[in-house]
Amino acid sequence: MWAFGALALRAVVVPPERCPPVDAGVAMASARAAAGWIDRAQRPDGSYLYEFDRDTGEEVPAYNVVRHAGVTMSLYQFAAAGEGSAMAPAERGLAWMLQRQYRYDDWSALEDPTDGSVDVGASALMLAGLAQRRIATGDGQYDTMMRALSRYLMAMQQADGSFLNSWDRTTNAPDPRFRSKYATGEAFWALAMMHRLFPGEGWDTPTRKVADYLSLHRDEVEEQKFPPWADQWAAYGLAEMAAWDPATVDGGVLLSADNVAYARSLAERFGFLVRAESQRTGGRWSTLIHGRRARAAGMGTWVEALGSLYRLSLAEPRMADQAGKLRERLVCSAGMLAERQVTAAEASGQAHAEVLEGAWFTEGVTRMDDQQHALSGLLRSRLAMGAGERVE
Amino acid sequence: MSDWLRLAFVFLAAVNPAAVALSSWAPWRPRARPLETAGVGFGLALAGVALAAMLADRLLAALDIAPETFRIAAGIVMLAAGAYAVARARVAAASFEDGWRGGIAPLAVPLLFGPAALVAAISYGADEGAWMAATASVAALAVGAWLTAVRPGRWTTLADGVARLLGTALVAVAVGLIVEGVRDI
Repeated sequence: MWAFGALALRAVVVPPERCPPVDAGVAMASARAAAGWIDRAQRPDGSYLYEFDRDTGEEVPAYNVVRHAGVTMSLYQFAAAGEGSAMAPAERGLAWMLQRQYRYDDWSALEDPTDGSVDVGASALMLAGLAQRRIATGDGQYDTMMRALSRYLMAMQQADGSFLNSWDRTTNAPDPRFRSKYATGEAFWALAMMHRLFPGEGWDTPTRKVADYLSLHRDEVEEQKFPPWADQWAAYGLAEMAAWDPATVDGGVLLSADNVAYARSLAERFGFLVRAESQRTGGRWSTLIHGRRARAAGMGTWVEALGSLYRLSLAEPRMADQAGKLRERLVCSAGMLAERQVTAAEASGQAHAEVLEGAWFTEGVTRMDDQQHALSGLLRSRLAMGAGERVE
Repeated sequence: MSDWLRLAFVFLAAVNPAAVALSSWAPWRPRARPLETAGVGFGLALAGVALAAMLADRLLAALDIAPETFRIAAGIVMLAAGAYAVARARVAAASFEDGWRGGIAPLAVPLLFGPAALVAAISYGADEGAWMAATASVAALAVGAWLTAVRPGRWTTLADGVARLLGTALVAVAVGLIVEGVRDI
């Protein structure tokens, strides 16, 4: 009876948690391969291959401007981590965005060319990309554009710190009907980087408002069923705030107690997600009991979040007790990511090898944000393996 | 409540001395069992808890399970044991003989050192240390063993109520453990 119970428990509740070995070199090589995929699949106009089905050998005819901005941002992150080869595709991606600006009043925003919509997420990630570009190069040629994008975000911010997602071009006002569970965190991180790059211009004030909204109200206002919403952008933003120069903020206090409590709850959420994922084998029984393996676009966000929260735990004494576990989960998730990537050897000799190598496939399909989030996550994981910088 | 007292309460609910006593107090056998049986049962059960707690880290590492994840499994086992105690006010066990043999089985295993006590020893041994887990279990194991040496008589009704109450407490502890396992990093 005991043996049967133990076996059932093992099979259903606690199958082994597999964390493939990984070090900073492996993580960097994997990130490089992901960036190589993005570069090879980029079109001459600067847009990227959106989605590819390896079973049919065909591209899926779709595009998403938010993901375009996100992929470009990840390339600039790679450049900021010292990988100069990422600059060329990133610059082409940036040029694509610069050609699609919607301007109103004193601000500028990235417009979706497919439907003309002007949403917060795309502009926030474009701003984040430009911030990473500035960190990578020190070049100030887009500072004016960064401020214009930031002013758009300010125009979309509500009194409680939240953001409405879409600009209504008929009323020339934010459309009160739409919010995005992604865009708020994206804007938060982008504005937090604005304060790092331009302290004294007042970007800390809207940043703090978002941080408090995310920490205290977002899950309730936006009706998250299982709070906290696993928001890696919020983790980026909190880590960025913790890295601010205390001399540049009122009272020198970087994070409030509520911000720290929220960060801790995010750490718990992402840690659990990684533990659960590490139990999935992709086999039939595992899929039946524990569900399908996460796609790289999902797991990459967990690695990004854990990388950010790990940085936060090193900078913020009230998070220090979580550093060990965060490091453990971060390395584990990076190892899983690296292991699941299509290697050059695996792609070699196959049809469309150039869009297989360096990619992550789920049920035969890869999408550009699989590579984006995996790339960003792997980069941010290196700090836990003794490489990388806390300010990246 | 100190960590040690909290853990002692967890083991009290997991061992459930009242349910152990009810399982040994057969209605057709109104006399007390010999202390020898209780002593052997207590010693072996304590050794089991201590061993499980001491080996917890190595066991979980060998099984590739994070202590945080094991809490979920431990919670599920304790939930089942608690629900059984609430429903039956007994511990599922084979027939009970006097003497040292009865002290080994069923008193030590599975009455005192049953599935709930085992997973509690592993989970808390990994989280709080073997010494803490082992010492916190002493009171529950001692009371459970001693009650088997008490003449049942009029205590049966009281023990029935206490066993169900401790079963309810174990259910609450189990739910807390599962939530902790899910919410930890």
